Amino acid sequence: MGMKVTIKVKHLILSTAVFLLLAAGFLVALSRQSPPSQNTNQAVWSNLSKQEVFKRIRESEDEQKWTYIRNYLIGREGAELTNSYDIYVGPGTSEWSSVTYEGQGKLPPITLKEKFPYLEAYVESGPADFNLAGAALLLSYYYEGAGQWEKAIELLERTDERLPASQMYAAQKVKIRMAEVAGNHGDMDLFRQISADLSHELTQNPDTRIVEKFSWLQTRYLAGNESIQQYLKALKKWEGSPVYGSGKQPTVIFDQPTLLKQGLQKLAASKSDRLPEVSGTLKRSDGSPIAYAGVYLRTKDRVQGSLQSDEPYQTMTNGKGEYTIKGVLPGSYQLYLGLELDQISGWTWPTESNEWIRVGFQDVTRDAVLQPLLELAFPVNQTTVREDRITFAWEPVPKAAYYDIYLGVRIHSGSVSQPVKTKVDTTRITIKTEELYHLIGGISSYSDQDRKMITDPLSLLGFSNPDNRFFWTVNAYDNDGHLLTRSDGYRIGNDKIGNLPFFYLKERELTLADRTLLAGNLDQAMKQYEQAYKDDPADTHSLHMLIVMIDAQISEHRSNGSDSFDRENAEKQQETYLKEMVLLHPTSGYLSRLTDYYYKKKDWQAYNAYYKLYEKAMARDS
Amino acid sequence: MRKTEQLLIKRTLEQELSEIRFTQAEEVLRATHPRSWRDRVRAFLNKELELPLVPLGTAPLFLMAALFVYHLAEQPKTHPGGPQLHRELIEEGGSYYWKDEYERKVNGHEGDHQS
Repeated sequence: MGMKVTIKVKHLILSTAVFLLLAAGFLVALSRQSPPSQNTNQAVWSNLSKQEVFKRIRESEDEQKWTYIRNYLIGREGAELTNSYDIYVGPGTSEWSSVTYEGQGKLPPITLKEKFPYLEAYVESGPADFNLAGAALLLSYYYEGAGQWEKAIELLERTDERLPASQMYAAQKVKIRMAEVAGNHGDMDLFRQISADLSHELTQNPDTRIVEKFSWLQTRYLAGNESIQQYLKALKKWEGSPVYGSGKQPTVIFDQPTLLKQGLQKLAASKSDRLPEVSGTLKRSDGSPIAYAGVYLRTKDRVQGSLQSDEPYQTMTNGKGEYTIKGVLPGSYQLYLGLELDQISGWTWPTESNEWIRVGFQDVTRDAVLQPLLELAFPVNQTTVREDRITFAWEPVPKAAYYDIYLGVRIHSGSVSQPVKTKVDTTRITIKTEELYHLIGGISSYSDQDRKMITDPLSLLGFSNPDNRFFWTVNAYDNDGHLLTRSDGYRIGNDKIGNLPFFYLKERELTLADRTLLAGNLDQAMKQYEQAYKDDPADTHSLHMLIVMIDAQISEHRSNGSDSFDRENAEKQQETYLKEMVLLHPTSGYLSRLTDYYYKKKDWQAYNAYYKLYEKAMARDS
Repeated sequence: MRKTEQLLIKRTLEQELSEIRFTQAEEVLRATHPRSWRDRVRAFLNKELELPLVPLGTAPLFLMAALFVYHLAEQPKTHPGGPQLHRELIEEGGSYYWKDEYERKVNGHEGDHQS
C-alpha cells in the first residue's frame, strides 16, 4: 500500500545529483564561520589566533591592512627593542610582558622573525606615522645583526624622508639610530653629518629624551672611533652652552646624565684611545643559537626598574645568536636578555643578582648559555605525605657539585619560599616533618577593602597547615658556587611542564588554636596557644606559634600603629619563649633569633653562649 | 457488392496512406531488442521505476540531519581552538605556566590529596 511514484531511471539520477550538490552547498555554508565583526578603526582580537592574525592582514587592503599590522604586530607603545619580547631576564630577575591593546585582550605571541616581512611592508608603503619609525627601528637591528648595515641605513634614510614634519620626535629617533648604525660600522662621515643635522634640530626643539640619547651616542662614537683625548679636549673647549658644533667639528652636547659624566671622567683619567665593545653569543647548552633576541647592557641606576626604551646600550642577536655592543663607556653593567616564550620555555639562564660585567678599556666577551630546567622527582603533582619524614628527590645535573633546596607555602597574596637545605651533595634528602614545622618564615600581610593591613594566617602557620599546598624548588651549583640551573622557570607547553612541584603534608592535625588563627581571629588564637602551652609544656607547636605570633604583632603594630601595644614587653616575652624553645628544640633558626636579640641588647655574655649553640646547630644541620 | 465496397475502401485508404511511410522500424526494434551497449544504456535510463513515495521523501531529510551532526562533531577540529586563544601566563610555585595547561595538570592530580 501507500503512495507510489513512477520515475524513469534517468530522472532519478538527475535528481540525486541535484540533491547531492545542494547538500554540499549546505555543508560549506555551515562550516563557514560567521564573519568576524569588522571594525575598521578598532581592533577586536580577543579571540584571534596567530594564523588568523596573519590571514586578516593578508586578506585586507590598504588602510585596513596597515591598521591590522599596527595593532597586531607593532602594538600600542610602538615597536621598540625594549617592548617587543615576551620575557626580559636579567641577573636574578625575570619579567614577562603581556602586550595588550586598549584592554581588548591579549595579542597572540608572534615572534619578531614572523613580524619582519610585515614590518618591511609597513616601512615601504604604510602610513608615515610614529609606527613607521618603530617598524624601521626594529628592522634596522635585524639587518645590522645580519651583517647588512648598509641596508639598515638605507631603510632608516627612506623612513626619515617619508616622515612628515609633524613627526619630529619619530624622525629624531630614526636619525639617532642611523647615527648609531653609522658609528657602529665606522662610517664617521655619515655619523658627523647626521650629528650636525640633529644638533641643529635640537637647538631649536630640545627634547630631553633625545638630547640625553644623543649625548650618549656622541661620547660613544666620537670617543670610540676617533680619539678619546681629542674628543675630551673638544668637550672642554666648548663647555658652557647646551648645543654646539657644525660641519667637520665634533658636535657636542653638554647636557649629560650623571653616569655619562662619570664615564667621561674615567675616560679623561685614562691613557686609552678607543672605547671597548662588549660582544658574545646567546645559545642553549646544546649549542642551538638564540636568534633575534634582545640584548641590553644596563647600568646600576637602571637595573632596579624595568627596561626603558631609552636604554643606552641595546641590540639584537643575529641568526647565529651573536651580538656586539660597540663604544661602551667604562663602568659596571648587567646583561639583560629579551626573549620569546618559546626561546626560554623549558630552559633557564642561570645568572645571579650579583653578576656584573666590568668594562674597562679592553673589549669584553660575554656569552649567555641557557640550561635545561632541573626536573623534580618526588614529592610532586600534589602528592600527600603522611609520614613523619619526607624525602625529596630530583634528577641529577651534570657537573653539579651541590644543590640548594627551597620550600614554599601558598599564601593569600601568592607564595613565599625559603632555603631549607643548602649544599646538599646528593640528589635525594630526607627531612623530618617536625623540622619543617619549626621553620620561621617571614610574616606576610595583605590589605583588606579598607586598606588595613591584615596578617596572613597562612604565612604564620607555615608548613604546620595540613590543608595548605606546599611547593619546592632546587638550585644546582658547580664547584665554584656558580649557579648551573634551577627547577623553577618558564614551563610553557605540555612537553615542558614536567612534574608540578606541589605536595601536601598531612602528618599532623590542626589544633583548636590553629583553627581560630585560620579563621582570622589572631588575638583569640594567641590566648588559645598560651593555654595549650600552659597545659602541656612539651607542646612545641604552640610554643612555636607563640613566638611567630609575637613577630606578627610587632609587624602589625609597625604597619597599622596601635598605641596600646607595648613592643618592648612583647620582645621580652618572645625572648622567654625562645629560651624555652631551644631547650626543647635547639634549631639554628631559633638560636639565630636569640643571638640577634642579645646582639641588639648588647648582652655579650648571652650572645656568646647562644652563638656557640647556634654554631653547633649549624654543624648538625649540615 | 460488399466486396466491391470493401475494395473501394481499401483502395481509398491505400491512396490516402500512400504518403505516410513507417521508417522507424529499426529504432523500434532497437528499443525493444537492444543489441549494442549504447542501446542497452539508453534502455536502462528510460526504464520506469515505481518507487514508494514516503521512504523516498524522508531519506533526504535523514541525510541532511546526518550531515549536520557530522558538521557539529567536526567543528572543534576545524576551528582553531578555544583555550589556545585566551591563553594566560600564571606564576605558581615559582614557575610560569599557561593557565589552561596548568589547570589541566592540577585537575588530573586533584584526587591525590583528598583524605
